[in-house]
Amino acid sequence: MSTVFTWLRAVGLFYRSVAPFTVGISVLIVGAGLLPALVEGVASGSLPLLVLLKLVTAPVVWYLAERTRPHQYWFYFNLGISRRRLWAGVAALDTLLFVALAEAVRTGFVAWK
Amino acid sequence: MSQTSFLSAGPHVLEADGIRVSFGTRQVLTGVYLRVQTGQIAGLLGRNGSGKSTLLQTVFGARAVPDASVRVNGQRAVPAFQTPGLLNYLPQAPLLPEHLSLRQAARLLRVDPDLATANFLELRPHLDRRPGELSGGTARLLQVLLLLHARTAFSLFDEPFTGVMPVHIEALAAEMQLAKQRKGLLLTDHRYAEVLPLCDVVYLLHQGRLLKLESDVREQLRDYGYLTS
Repeated sequence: MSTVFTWLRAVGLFYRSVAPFTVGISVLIVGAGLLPALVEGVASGSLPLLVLLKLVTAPVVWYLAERTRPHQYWFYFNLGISRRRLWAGVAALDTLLFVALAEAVRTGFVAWK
Repeated sequence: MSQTSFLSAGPHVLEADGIRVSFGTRQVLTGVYLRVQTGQIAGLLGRNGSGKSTLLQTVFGARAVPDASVRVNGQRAVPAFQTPGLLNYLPQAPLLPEHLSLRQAARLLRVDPDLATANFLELRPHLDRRPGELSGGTARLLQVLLLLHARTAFSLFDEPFTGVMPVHIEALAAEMQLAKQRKGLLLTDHRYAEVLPLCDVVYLLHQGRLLKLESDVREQLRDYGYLTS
C-alpha cells in the first residue's frame, strides 16, 4: 500500500494527463448549463444538478483516457496504486475543481451584473 | 505485510501458476508454472506473440486472470503490485508519465538517483529531464536502472535492452548481476546472446506452455524453433 503522500502526488500527476478531457467537459457544462441559467436568473440551487451532470460524464473521460493512453497506468502500478484508487482520487479532485469553477463563474457573474 | 518484510535478509521465492489466458479462440497461456527466487536471474524466452508480456503482466497483477495464483514464500499475493516491497515491472511501453522528470520519478519510487547511476555517470545530466526529451535508448536505460535500484524483492523486465547501445548493455548486464545479490530478476528480451549468459534459469514459452530449459539451453532453443543456428 502506498503512502497517502505518494497517492496524492500520483493523483495530481494522473490528473494532468486527463485534464484536457475533464477541464473541457467542465467548461462545456458551465458554459452551456450554468451561464444561460445565470442570464435567465434561474441558477439558484442548480449546483447539485451540475455536479451530478459532471459525475455522469466521468465514464466518457475514462473511455477517452483508456483509448488515447492505454499504457498510462504502469508507473502508478509500480507505486502500488491500482486503477480504482487512481480514478477515485481523480473523481474527487475533478469534482472539487468543478465546484470551484462553477462558484467562481457565479460570483464573477453576480459582480459583473 | 509490512513494508520491510520482503527487504529482510533471506531468500524469497516468487511462484506463479494456474495462469490460463486466451485471446479469442487462441489459447496463449496454459499450464504455466514459474518460479524465481532472490539471488537469481531468470530469463523468459519465446517467439513473438507467445505470451511473454502477458505472463509478466499477470504475475505483476496488472492483468486479472481468474485462476492465476501468484505466491511469495507460499503466501498468496494477488495483485502482486499492491504488496509493498514485493516487485516492480518494466513494460515494453514507456514507463513514466510525460510530465515527470527522471529525478522526480526516482523520488516517487524511493530510489536514490545518484546511486542508481553510479556506474553510468554520463547519464546523470539527464536526470532532470523528462523521458520525452531523451533518446529512446537513454530513457529506457534510466528506467531500467530506477526499477533495478528500487527496494523490491523482485523486478520483472520486459525487453530491458531495447534501444540501449552495446556498451551500455554490457554495463547494464553487470548492474543486473550486482542487483541479483539483493533481489530476483525475471527478464524477457530477444537479445538472447546477452540474456543467456546472465541467467541462472531459462524458461521458454512454447505453444502456451512454460518449459524450464536445463543442460544445453541453446540446443533446446534450436529444437523448439526459437533459434535456427
